Amino acid sequence: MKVIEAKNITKVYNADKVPVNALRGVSFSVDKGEFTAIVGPSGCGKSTLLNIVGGLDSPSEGEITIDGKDLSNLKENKLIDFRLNKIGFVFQSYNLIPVLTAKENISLIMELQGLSKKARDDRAMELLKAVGLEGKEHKKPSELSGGQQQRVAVARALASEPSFILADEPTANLDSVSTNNLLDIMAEMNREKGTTFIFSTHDQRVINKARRVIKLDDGLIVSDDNMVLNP
Amino acid sequence: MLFTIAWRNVWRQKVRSLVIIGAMVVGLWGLIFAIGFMSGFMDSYLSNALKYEYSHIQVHHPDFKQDQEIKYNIKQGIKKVAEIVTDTNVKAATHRTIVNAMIGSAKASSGVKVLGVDSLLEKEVTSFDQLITDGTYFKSVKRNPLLIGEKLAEKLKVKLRSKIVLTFQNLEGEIVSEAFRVAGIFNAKSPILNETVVMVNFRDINKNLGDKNLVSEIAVYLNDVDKIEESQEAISSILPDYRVEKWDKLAPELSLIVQQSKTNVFILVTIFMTALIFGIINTMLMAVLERIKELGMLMAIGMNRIKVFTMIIIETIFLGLVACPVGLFLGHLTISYFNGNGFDLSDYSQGLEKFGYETVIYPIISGNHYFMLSMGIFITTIVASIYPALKAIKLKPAEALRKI
Ligand SMILES: Nc1ncnc2c1ncn2[C@@H]1O[C@H](COP(=O)(O)OP(=O)(O)O)[C@@H](O)[C@H]1O
Ligand SMILES: [Mg+2]
Repeated sequence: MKVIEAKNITKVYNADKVPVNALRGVSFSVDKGEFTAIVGPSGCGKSTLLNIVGGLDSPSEGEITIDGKDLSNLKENKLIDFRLNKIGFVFQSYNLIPVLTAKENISLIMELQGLSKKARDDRAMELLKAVGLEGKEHKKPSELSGGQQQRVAVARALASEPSFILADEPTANLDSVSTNNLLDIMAEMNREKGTTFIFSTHDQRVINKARRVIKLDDGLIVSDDNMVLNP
Repeated sequence: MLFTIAWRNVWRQKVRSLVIIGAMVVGLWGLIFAIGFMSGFMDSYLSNALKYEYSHIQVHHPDFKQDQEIKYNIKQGIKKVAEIVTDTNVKAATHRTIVNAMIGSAKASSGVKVLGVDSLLEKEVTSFDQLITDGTYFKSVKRNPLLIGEKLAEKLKVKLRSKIVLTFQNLEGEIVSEAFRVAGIFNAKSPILNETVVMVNFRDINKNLGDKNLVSEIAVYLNDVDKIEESQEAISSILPDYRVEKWDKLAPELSLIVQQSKTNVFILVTIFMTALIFGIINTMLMAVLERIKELGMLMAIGMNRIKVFTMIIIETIFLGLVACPVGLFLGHLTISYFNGNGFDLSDYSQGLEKFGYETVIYPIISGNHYFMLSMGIFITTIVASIYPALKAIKLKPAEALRKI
């Protein structure tokens, strides 16, 4: 089953001044259960592509379908609801609300979805345990390490039970131990729960962990390799 | 959780929040004091003027106001007074004769308004006996006693027991003279009373007028001023052919001053609230701008605009919610203290007394004012939060997240 289908996506920034062709005709699709890396040098268009796939930005041309739904016709408010329920996000930084604890950060998204307090608490604790942060539920982000914060972000992304999780360079600010740790947790979620992950990176160690690698260069897909073996 | 986030955000930049909260507290405190002071000032001025001079209701012949002549009098006035006092809201009522006369002492003479009063009823209505600063209230002189204001006494160079001659016209238009003796000197709050009015016994003046029961004016003092309309109606039905007026008609300058002081309060409050709006906008705009990434993230993961907007509004309201009780409490303490002890203005009192004001002010403030100020703060914070909140929801998540 396809969760993402992108057809001929282009993105031009500053069309009226100095146009920047960030994407120049990108087509690909993602099946449920994939563990896919979007790779390429800085400025090649990774973030732009993930933003478009995540409904945070709209393409200049082309069509994007998520779970069978065409995003181009959605109004901003509908789009926010769509993101809330269908897509989990992990960003490079500023993932968490500084004034909320780890558990509250995870609960927040479920509260936005309208889950009961009990259901939120149970699931938040369960997820914290799954990302190896048991006992840290009452810590504020500033009291957690960078790697721990990103793990809370992954737990938060999982909390809403989305169709897939988009992670834009989630390890860019992490040391290698934390990077490995985070990738292992993501891979485990993918293996055991079948969660679909699409993440961008330019870190070779992270690329090695992916099962499918889509290589972007200058706004175009230059290769798309499906690894048979799981590292 | 919006409330939790908003509340904790207030304390994220403690100093900044405390500065704006402090500004609100000090502003409220000052406003309450200013309002209390003005109200206290007004209250004492008004109640003095009503108590010693105007009373609450007065009755005259319809033509008397235009032309203060004795031919415009109230038929059976004394009987009517007895009828008026049967109303339970009437504390006291009295009848007066009003005659314009020439007053002459051994040294000088002047125009004067003579009030012929029933000394017993008069002090019930105007407490005039309390204003005597020298001599007695009609007692120390057997024949034709007269009360005179300090200023006029000075002008005519008369003292206690000095002889004074009043010259006036009777009902037939004949000129009549009668000699009186100063029994007491009064100091009224009103400069007009002090300089242009003398008081004599009703029968002493009336015996010269050609009608010993002639009444020019009836004055009524009430128990409960809030029921003045009802009392006015009751009196009108007793005296249907005469003009029955409330104090605000009798003394338009008084109601003007009361109105003016209300306007002053309004202006003060408006100035404060306007300044506050800009202070709050500044604070909240800073709070929004330094949180662009966070707000972008929230919208990216699925917090809709209404919630983001609400969150900023709540955060702003919290600022007011912290400041309001503190400001009101400090204001209330201050007012209570000075209401008990009085606020002494005697350094400036000479100027004030001249205009009939008290020199010690007892600030007073109504629950209504507290409510009005609380609502004012509430509305101000909401108004001030709209612009920053709009700024927040205008953010595009993709762009907000890209910002460094
Ligand atoms: N908002 C924007 N306005 C103008 N140019 C942009 C904007 N966002 C990205 N770009 C440009 O688009 C290209 C792709 O950027 P991006 O998608 O961020 O690449 P990556 O994430 O791979 O580093 C870059 O040349 C970048 O400078
Ligand atoms: Mg990028």
